[in-house]
Amino acid sequence: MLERVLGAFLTGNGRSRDWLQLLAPSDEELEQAAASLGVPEPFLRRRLEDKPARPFVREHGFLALQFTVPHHHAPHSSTFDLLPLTVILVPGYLVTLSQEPVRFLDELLDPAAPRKRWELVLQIIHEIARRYVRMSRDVGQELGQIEKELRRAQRVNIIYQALEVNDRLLDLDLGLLQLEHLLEELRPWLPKDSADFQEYYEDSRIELRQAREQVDTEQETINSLLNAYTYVVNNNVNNIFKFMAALIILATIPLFIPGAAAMNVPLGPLPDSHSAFYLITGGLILVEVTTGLIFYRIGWLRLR
Amino acid sequence: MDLNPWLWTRWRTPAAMPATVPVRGAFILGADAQEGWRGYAQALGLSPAWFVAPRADELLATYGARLEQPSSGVWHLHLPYVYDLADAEQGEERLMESVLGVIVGPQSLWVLSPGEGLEAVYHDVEEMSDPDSREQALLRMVLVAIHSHDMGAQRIVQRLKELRTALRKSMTNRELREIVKLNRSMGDLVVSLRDLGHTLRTWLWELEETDQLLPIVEELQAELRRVEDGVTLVWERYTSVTNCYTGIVQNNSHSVMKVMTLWLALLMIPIALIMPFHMETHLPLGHWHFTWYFLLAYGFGASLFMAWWGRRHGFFDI
Repeated sequence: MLERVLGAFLTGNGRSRDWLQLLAPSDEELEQAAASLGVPEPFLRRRLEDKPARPFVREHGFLALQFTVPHHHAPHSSTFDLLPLTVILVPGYLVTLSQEPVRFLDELLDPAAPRKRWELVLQIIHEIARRYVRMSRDVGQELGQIEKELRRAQRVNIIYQALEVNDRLLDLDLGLLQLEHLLEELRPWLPKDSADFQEYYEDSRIELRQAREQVDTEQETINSLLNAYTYVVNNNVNNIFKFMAALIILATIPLFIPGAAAMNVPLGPLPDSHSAFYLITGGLILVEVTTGLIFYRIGWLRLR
Repeated sequence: MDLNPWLWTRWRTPAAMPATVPVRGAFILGADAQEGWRGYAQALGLSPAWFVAPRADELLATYGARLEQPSSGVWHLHLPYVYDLADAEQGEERLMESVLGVIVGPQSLWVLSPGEGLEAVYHDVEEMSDPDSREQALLRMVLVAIHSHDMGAQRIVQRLKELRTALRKSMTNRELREIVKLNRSMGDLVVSLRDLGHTLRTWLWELEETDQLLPIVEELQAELRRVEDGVTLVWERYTSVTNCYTGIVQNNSHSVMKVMTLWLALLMIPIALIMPFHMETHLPLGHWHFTWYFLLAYGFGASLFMAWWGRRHGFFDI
């Protein structure tokens, strides 16, 4: 889709300019946009691919900024996609290029309340940074849920869940890293004469740093915990082993006590005694109960 | 120089060079089998027959200088470069590490890449807004080398994720061995990126303040820092969970042993319960017609009860 929104933002001199939105563009739309903007078509095409690309490109006649925007799979879900969003600044236009709609752009590029170009760029960065912080908080909450389930877990599924959380945190960290580098490269381009811009820039930078520190801390925690998690799961399985082995020992006692009275040899007075069965079985039960109690006391019959 | 068995390393050899020469703007990409080699050798100050000499491979392997300035305004760069190689015999894709040769002249630029690694180079050239700009071409060619490491890291992560999934059922060390190799390869990528960074830093120091290449190298350094930070982060995060993978394999074996032990216990229970009735004594219920049935039901019933209880507590889970 190729859509043009008139008067969506202002230049530094306060002149009204248009927003060109390229959303999942077709080949014809890309060609048309490339020709009218003076940006090479392969360049635009590459921005839509999931391949390494510079987040800040300055070439003759245009300036391109590449973002990765986290987008929830569902409300209140901690799973997300990272959508590539490219903002291209060309004389007369601000172009956004993405495969999926990025909802906050409609609010920021509002012709009813147009913002200045660089303020707009910083607002976009600010909005993306806020999303990263929110995502990392949601992922962190999922970690808490995993820890609860871990107490009883015997299967490695729980470890795989933790590894997925670890991957998601790494994706967030890499996205934030890219944003941080982008912000650093933008610094020389921002208007120097406006104290507001500088302040807003510093705010965005600090917010990004805090978000990265938060994600880094979460990730370091989960990284160090993952080994412990594996041991907890292994230990839960080992506890069952221990219980089984104790049970097998208890089940082996009757093999040798009644077994001694079951030999096919002369057994003395036992075959004629009417109380032998009760005496031997009583002794067996006594030995079993004593052994069972000892095992219980030393924890061999406890599952956790 | 074979760094490790996963990240295959191939230094420039004549056989790996492209057969055709696309000429674009002010710079030449690749080299043809004979003429291009002569030109490249000449630019390097070597004899024209140097590249086709029998010992060329060996010489190239020892030709380790990353940055040279043979004369004023001429720079030779040899940058580590990673690319995919489709191995038709094995039916798989390999990640290869080689060298991207870049010669920067006052008005020209030469880039030499292994034939299999040319695709990414062409891809970037197509994007150029000004095909005659030497600076823009240089920027893009060095970026190809930088981003190739990012691409390599993504490939390794993709394979690591596949292996991690395979670990779910594994009780051997096959997957773990490959994971260790991949971790090493990822480490090699980080080292290679730092090597590239060192070359760029040296170049930056060597360039005059008025040199028009200076802003290009500064821009390259900024991008290199970003990619290096990213690849290092991925490497650190993935290597730190390797012990967890060992735990997963152990757990798989333990789970099987757990279920085997459970079966052993379940079989032992009826034996233990019936054993007193093997004694050569007067037995209670000895003359009851249904004693045998009762004892079987009693022994195996207890075992079944135990199995039901164990199932509820996950004893059978693998």
